[in-house]
Amino acid sequence: MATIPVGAESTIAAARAVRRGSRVLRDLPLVPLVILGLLVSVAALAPVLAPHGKLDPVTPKPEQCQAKFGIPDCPYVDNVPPFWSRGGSLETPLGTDFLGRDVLSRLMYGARISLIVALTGTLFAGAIGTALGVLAGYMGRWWDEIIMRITDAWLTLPSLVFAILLSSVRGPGLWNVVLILALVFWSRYSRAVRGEVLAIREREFVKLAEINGIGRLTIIWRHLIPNVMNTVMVLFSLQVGVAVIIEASLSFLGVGVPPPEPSWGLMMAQERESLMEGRWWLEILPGSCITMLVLAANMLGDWLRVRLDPQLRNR
Amino acid sequence: MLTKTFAILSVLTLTCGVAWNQGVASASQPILSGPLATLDIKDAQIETGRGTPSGTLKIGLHFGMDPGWFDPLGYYGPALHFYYLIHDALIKPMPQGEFTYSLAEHAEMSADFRRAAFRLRPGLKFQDGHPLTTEDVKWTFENYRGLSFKYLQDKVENIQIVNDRTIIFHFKTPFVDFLDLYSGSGSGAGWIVPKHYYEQVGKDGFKARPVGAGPFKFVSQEAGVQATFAAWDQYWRRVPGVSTINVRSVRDLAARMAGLETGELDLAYGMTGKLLQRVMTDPKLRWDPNFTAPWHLVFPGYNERSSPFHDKRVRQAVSLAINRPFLVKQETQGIGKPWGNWISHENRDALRGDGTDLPVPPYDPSKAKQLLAEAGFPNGFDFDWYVPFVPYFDMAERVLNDLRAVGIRSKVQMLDAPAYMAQTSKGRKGFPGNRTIVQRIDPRPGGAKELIRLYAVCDGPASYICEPAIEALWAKHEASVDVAERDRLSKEIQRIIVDGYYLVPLYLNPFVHAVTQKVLPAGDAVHHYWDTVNAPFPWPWEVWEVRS
Repeated sequence: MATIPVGAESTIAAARAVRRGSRVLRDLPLVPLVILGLLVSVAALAPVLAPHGKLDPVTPKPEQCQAKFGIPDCPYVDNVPPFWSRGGSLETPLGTDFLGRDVLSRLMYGARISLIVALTGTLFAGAIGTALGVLAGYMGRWWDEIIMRITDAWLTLPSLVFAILLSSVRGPGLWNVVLILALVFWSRYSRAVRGEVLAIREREFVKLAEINGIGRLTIIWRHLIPNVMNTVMVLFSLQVGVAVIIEASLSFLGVGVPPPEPSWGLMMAQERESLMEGRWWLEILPGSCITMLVLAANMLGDWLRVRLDPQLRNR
Repeated sequence: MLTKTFAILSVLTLTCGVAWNQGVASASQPILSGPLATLDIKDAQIETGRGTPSGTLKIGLHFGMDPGWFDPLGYYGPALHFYYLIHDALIKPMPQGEFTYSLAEHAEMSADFRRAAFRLRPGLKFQDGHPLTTEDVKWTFENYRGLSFKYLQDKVENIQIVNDRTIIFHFKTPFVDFLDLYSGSGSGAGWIVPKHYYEQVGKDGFKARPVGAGPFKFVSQEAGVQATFAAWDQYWRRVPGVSTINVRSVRDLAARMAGLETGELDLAYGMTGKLLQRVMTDPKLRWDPNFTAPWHLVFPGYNERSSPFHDKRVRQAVSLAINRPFLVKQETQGIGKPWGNWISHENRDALRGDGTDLPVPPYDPSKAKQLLAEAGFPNGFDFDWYVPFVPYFDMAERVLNDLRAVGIRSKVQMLDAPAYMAQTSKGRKGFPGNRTIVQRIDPRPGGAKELIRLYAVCDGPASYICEPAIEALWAKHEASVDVAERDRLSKEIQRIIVDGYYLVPLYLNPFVHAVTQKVLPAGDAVHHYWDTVNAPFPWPWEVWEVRS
């Protein structure tokens, strides 16, 4: 009979813990988490991290004014190249825009706007859609008919066109964009949640609760909503990416976040001409930020979808 | 030899044509009895013997289009671009002069300014072949519903059709400015639409498929995006030079620039801004500075006590905060001119804003801050919106940047052209609230008084200004039939507006247009297309020529 040497048990336990930890780590979507963590940190700490203000031009040095305009004093120097180009400096690492504003700082503050708009817009959409979906699914009859017919009609509307329409009615503005996102996306939640609730309401624990005379609102709050949260979370994470794109598109088209606020979409729109002048970074940098955020949100959404679905998880 | 003979024949034909036309005009029989006012109306330059139209001129418009702009009965300024294509007026601004005979060959006004008479050219017709008569002239006037229509129609007692070619307007009171409003630039009432066709298709049908008496026939449109026009070879003045004109809305400056560089466009407007230097240095392009009117800022609702702009010191601070020389450098590569009046010097009876009549506003941010503190805003203030003219959004940010430097903060509201123009044309009603600054420009030929009537008096259709001192002078102006006195009063009002900072002028705008080498003639001679004084667009279109 084999014996385990003294101390080996703890070693085995430690090895198991390490294996478990590494499995958990391996399963975690590291790339999206790192990107999102980075972007969220930058957004949250923008006032501390940004080398310059988001709206005001960088105060130029007399020699910069002299070189650019032939005068010793000027309000700003526009289109300073990034540090890797000739004429660039680390004071404005990614250069300045057409109004002499620091591009890096505006990108950092832009992360705030994109995240605030996308997260709150999607959150509101989720709240509205979940509430309506649960109501339609659980209450049934004319509740279901009315809510679902409206949902179906809503789902037929192309999201960007609908967002532009709403934006032209509401006017531009950060919170208007949030409202627009909520109005555009709620229907996706209500459709999915209603389907889930139709299944859950037939389960024993819901029936038992009904037999025990528990009120409908309590059943919805205690039993239905917690059970549809997986679906809602997956949808939420997938919608965030779409919301980022919609916000950027609205701002690019001039009906989103109004200037001079530094939205990434707006930054791209304002520097369209720069591509012709060879200042590609003014277009590519905000574009890359949008791509990274959307990619990270989608990857995280996919991971969540797999993790929260037992069939997919065990495949 | 053959070329030489042809050239001599052409010159002879041309000369005979012009002489014939002048001969007819001078031989015109008087219409009105009694003493007449002196009118300075130039003769039309009739160019017979022109060849057949050839080639396509592709134009890049810098804002979105509105199909309503094809209908003169709902006149608004930028629509003149299209009126000059499709329609024709009795008298209109042309390179020959601000008042140039067009459909009318003769006009008179009685010395007491109570009657105006016109005689149409013989044989005029619309593009559908229907004769153009005084019945159409009367119907157009009576059905006009665009800018200043009420003012115009209230003034008229009746319209008398003498015969198919002669018409007399009878006014209730002396109407000295009638021709200013009727000459094509001040309203749409003088642009004649075909009564028979308009009644047949209705307002919407006319917008969708307009018919006029102008040099180009409407062919097709994608609403708001592009429209195509074909030369009408029976146009009375001359055969158009190009066979097709295609106007596209290309809002994006980079896209217009790319269009010019690739040959997708032959003429593009609004080339100031970030790419102007590229336009100026591109050997394949030619550009015209086309000075039009001064940019200026207006304060809707300033006369309400709750508005921060109610205090003159705040409006003055706005003016002092703006670094005009630097703005001009950034926006126009230095070719714009900081200006002290909101009306162009090319408008009649306008004060020059270059220091001759009115000083160029200074740049003094320290004094601006001091004035704001005195007005009760030591830390500045936020206002709702800064609304720029389309598509000058970068310029808006530059101005806002200057304002923010003294503590006046806001956001840019980016409207498309039809929305911006609809709102500004409503005057005070277009911008509810009283915490907005609107950036405006109005390039149009004519008298300064027409701009005052429009923008600076209580009843002005697009006015934000209602000041007792201005009203008193304006009432005198309206009552007077003495042209010299009216000019003096007009200038006095302009001075009050500028001194009171009711409107804050920025700079005289070079509305730079660029053309490719496809546009004829070669070289600098191309500038003749911009000969019409103070015209925002290079009309008349029938003279444009391109390489086929």
